Amino acid sequence: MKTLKIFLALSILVLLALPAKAQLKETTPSATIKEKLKERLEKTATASAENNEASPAASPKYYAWVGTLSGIENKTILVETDEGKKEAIISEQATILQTEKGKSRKEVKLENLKINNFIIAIGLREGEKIKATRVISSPPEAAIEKKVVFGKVVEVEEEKIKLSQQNNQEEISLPLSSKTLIKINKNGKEGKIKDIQLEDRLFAVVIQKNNKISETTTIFVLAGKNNPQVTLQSPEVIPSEATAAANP
Amino acid sequence: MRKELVIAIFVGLSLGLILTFGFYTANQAIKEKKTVKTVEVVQASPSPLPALTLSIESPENNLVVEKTPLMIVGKSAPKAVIIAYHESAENFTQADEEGLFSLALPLAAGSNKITLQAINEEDKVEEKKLTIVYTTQLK
Repeated sequence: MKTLKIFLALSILVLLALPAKAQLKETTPSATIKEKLKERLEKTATASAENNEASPAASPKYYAWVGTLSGIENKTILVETDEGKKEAIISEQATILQTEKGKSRKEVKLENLKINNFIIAIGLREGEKIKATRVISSPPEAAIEKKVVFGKVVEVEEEKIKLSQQNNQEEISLPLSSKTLIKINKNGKEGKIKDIQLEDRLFAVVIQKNNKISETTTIFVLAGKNNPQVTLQSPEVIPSEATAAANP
Repeated sequence: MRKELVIAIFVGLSLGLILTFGFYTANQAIKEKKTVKTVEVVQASPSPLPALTLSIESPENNLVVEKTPLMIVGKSAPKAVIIAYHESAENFTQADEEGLFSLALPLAAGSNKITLQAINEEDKVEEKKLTIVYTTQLK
């Protein structure tokens, strides 16, 4: 009788343990994939954050309100940014610089800042405000109007390329010049017009004036079925006019 | 003798119930696996592209940096073409199978109003904007 009881108890234990083990097996693979994905994203983000941050990890992060100066109240300036009106409290030791066209920048007092000027207020963040330690003001300037156009190549000539879009019946004509940079998908290396084939998928950064494309600055090509180029790899950085010493 | 009989009946009933539950659970699991297989078959046929999204993991908006190029890291749809540009530079890449991407963008001194676009195979566009200030005069 005692043996029977032990046998029954063991059977119950085994029966109870089996479904739990099966459930564990089922959940493990997807959980691992999710964890790996999360890990990878975090790793890349951390690496880039380390590269991007203004100062070493122990130092505080600096932020900036960039936009138009819309008001000065006591020791606070109001900046009209792309995300709306932001406040910057000017610290006692703040450096306030003003640039004029054709003149070198000079240090000015807070009250001498001109309303509607373009402004950059740099400092440590205090909630929705910035405690600004550096303010740079300059006359407003019209921004260069850049945009991205894309589509399939339907015509290639020496001085222009025509594109057709899936969602637009009108064809886009891209003017080409010696300044136009062409990047073919193979490692993003520089290419020439002859490397662009019909049916290639093309992305261009263009400058617009009065709603018309006046210049094509860079062309990115994803090779189509008519193009012998290999699939896109990680492209190299496109050369820029960025200066070595940044002194805003 | 009577007590032992009651215990035996109770244990027998419990075991019976456990076994029934075990068979029921096993059956359910087999049915679920079959359903998963069906879904896999459906996915093998041409399906619509996943929804186009674009999120930036790094950098934060309005950040001040002392280094160029700026590394932009984020997530979009798998194989979406990612283009980043501002007034004086532009660069592009293609998101991987999981939609992850990283892109180096040279910065100009001062403020850089960066536009980031993701474009999928259906020519759908998702856009995000970033303002980054590049300076070596922080300290």
